[in-house]
Parts: sequence; structure tokens; C-alpha cells
Amino acid sequence: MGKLVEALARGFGGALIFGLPMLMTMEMWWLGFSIDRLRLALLLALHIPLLVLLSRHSGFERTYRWRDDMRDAAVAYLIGALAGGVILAVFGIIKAGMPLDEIIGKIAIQAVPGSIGALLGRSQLGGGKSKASQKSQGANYASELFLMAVGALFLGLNVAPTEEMVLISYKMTQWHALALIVLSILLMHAFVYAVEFKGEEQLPPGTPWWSALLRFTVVGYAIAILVSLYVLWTFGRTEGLGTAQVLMVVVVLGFPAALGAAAARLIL
Amino acid sequence: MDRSKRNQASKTERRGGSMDGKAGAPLSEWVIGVVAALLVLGMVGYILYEALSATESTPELAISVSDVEEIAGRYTVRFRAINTGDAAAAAVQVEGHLGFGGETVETSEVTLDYVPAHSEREGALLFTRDPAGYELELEPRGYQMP
Repeated sequence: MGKLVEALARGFGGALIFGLPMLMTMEMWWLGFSIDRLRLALLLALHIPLLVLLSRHSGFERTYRWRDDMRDAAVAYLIGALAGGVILAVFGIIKAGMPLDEIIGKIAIQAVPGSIGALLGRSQLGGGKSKASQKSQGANYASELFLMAVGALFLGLNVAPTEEMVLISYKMTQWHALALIVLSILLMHAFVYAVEFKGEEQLPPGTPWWSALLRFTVVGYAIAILVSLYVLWTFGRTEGLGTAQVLMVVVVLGFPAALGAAAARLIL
Repeated sequence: MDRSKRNQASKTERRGGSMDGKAGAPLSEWVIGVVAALLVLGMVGYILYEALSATESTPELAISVSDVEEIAGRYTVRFRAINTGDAAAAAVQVEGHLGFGGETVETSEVTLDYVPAHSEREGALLFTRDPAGYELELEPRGYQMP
């Protein structure tokens, strides 16, 4: 019982630490009522398998069965929603008298980053002893890519709702965008090597640089780009934009997403 | 499931056996790598093409009326602001006139935050008179560079 309370407290701590930047972003509140309901529903539905898989890698407790992962994912989702609801209520952003539709929308959208934080809370705020052994057993290429996607989604979600994303893309020329792509890939590759120096199994000594570049960095960047596109589409940021302009915003959001993807392999 | 098991197996081989990472990586990783590379190269190619083909960098704005509807005693004129130029426009002012016999009887205006290059944004102007009985004219009045 004491362990459960401790795990739940860590979950709330994680939800707050990871979720606060988004709880304090006004575009996230507006998205609560402006977001296309079908796209919100799709995001919330896709988030369930994501949490279950993430629970495999780091969760409230060492898990062996999918049933446990599903339970942990459900608890994390609930904690994310509760933490978001409480904080938004304290901020006066949701109050009695608002349409239920708006309140639910505002909380639901915050539950996504909050629940990832709740799951990671355990591994980040101590108590992750069982994680190390668990990870090396389960670490394979597919799970590497999955973790990169989660990292990209997480950092992408942090900045995607802000107006600055589109504003930066208007300030940049195509040449700036090309430079940003090169910079994103270079930084990601540096992270890949940083991981290698930590003794990651995926890159045994003697692996040529182009092998790691193609199999991890470029794949990671492609994942970051696709996740960015998905998040922008979900938030309605691609509405009415021409293809060239969509690509520009995707490259801008792809930068933090790429760093998130690369860093995820260190953190998660 | 199947694939992860295979990856697992090939990794064990790699760890225990030879040290050359080149031969150790399974085919599936290379396939994914090539697909990802094509995606990124395609994106770079498109942006490069845009960079080389963009000549002038000014917004070119046009307003087109989508529909007119009476809502709560006012006439809502929905419009699309279309930017065919190569640069984004910020704070785009759109003004609408209702004219009758060469004289303006009512004006209404709105400011759109952004109209990106080769893109469109929607907005609406409200009038108290029914535009059906007048000459309705919508035009862009000015913008800022973002």
C-alpha cells in the first residue's frame, strides 16, 4: 500500500514536471475548444497503445505481462488528466459554468503530455532500479525507433501549439530551412555517438559512421519529421497552407522533435 | 512480435560473434534506413526547388467571397484571403464596402493575423444591411512583413 502511494505520488510529480510548460501555454487552452474533435479523438486513441508500449520501457513498476502494462497505462492516463484538471482549475482556466465540451477538451489535450510525464515520473524521480536490466533485455531496433518517436512527440507537443512555430517559418527563407535540416541531422548524429560512447549495444565498435547515420540518425530524423507533421495536423496548424509552407513549419518543429528523439535514447 | 524476436536473435549473434557492425545489421534496418533517407531527401529536394524557383518575395493578395448568411440579425460575409506570392503577409487588413449607385453606404473591416505564401486563410465581415441589395466589394488594404 505504501509503495502504491509512493508510485502514484511519483506519477503526479512526473505529470506536473513534464506537463507544466503546456499547462501554462495559452494556445493549449485555446486548442481545448478549437481543436477538431475527430483529430482530438484520434490523438487520444493513438495515445493508449503508445502509453502501453512506453510502460514496457519505464513504468510504475517492473512489468512482465501486457495486462500490467495496460493497467499502468490506464493509471498514467488518469493521473495525467487529474493533474491537468486540478492545475487548470487552480489557474482559473476551467471553471463552473463553462460548457462541458470546453472543459473536457482542455483537460483531454493536457492528459497526453501529462500521462507521458506520469509514466516517466518513476524512472526520472528515482525508483528506476529495475529499469536498467529491463531495458537491456528489451532493447532492440524497433523499441529504439519507438522511443525516438515518443521523444519527438514529447518535445514536439511542448512547442507545436505556440504561434512561434508558424511565425519562425515565415521569417525563414528556404535556405534557412535547408540549414536547419542539416543542423538537426548533425546534432542528432552527435547524440547517437554520445549514446554509443555510453556503451549502447546497437553500435558495436567498428561500426562505420555511415551505417549509424543511415540506420539511426536519418531514420530518427524521418520519424521526427513525420511526428511533427502529425502533431501540426492534429492542432490544425496545416489548414489552408500550401505544400511548401507546410514543409517549412514541419522543418521548424522537426528541430525540437529531432532533439527530443535523439535525447529520448538517453533519457527514457 | 516476430520481427523483434529476429532482431533479438541477430543481436545476440553479433554480440557473441564477429565485431564487424557492417555485416551485423539486419536487412530490415537497412530497408527502413533507405526509406527514411528517401523521405528526407525528397523533402530537401522540394525545399531546394522552391529556394531556386522563388524569384520575387512579396505577398500577392486576393480576396474572394465564399458565401453570405444572415446570422442573428447581421449579414455574415465569409471570405477567403488567398496569397499567391512567395512571401507571407502579417496583419492583413481586409475591407468590405456595400455600395449603391457609386456611393458607399456601409464599410466593415477585419485584420487577419497571417496569410502565408501560397496559402489561404478564412475570415468574415459583418454588415447590418443585406449585401444582396448592394454592390459588395472586398479588398486587401495593407499588410506587414512578418
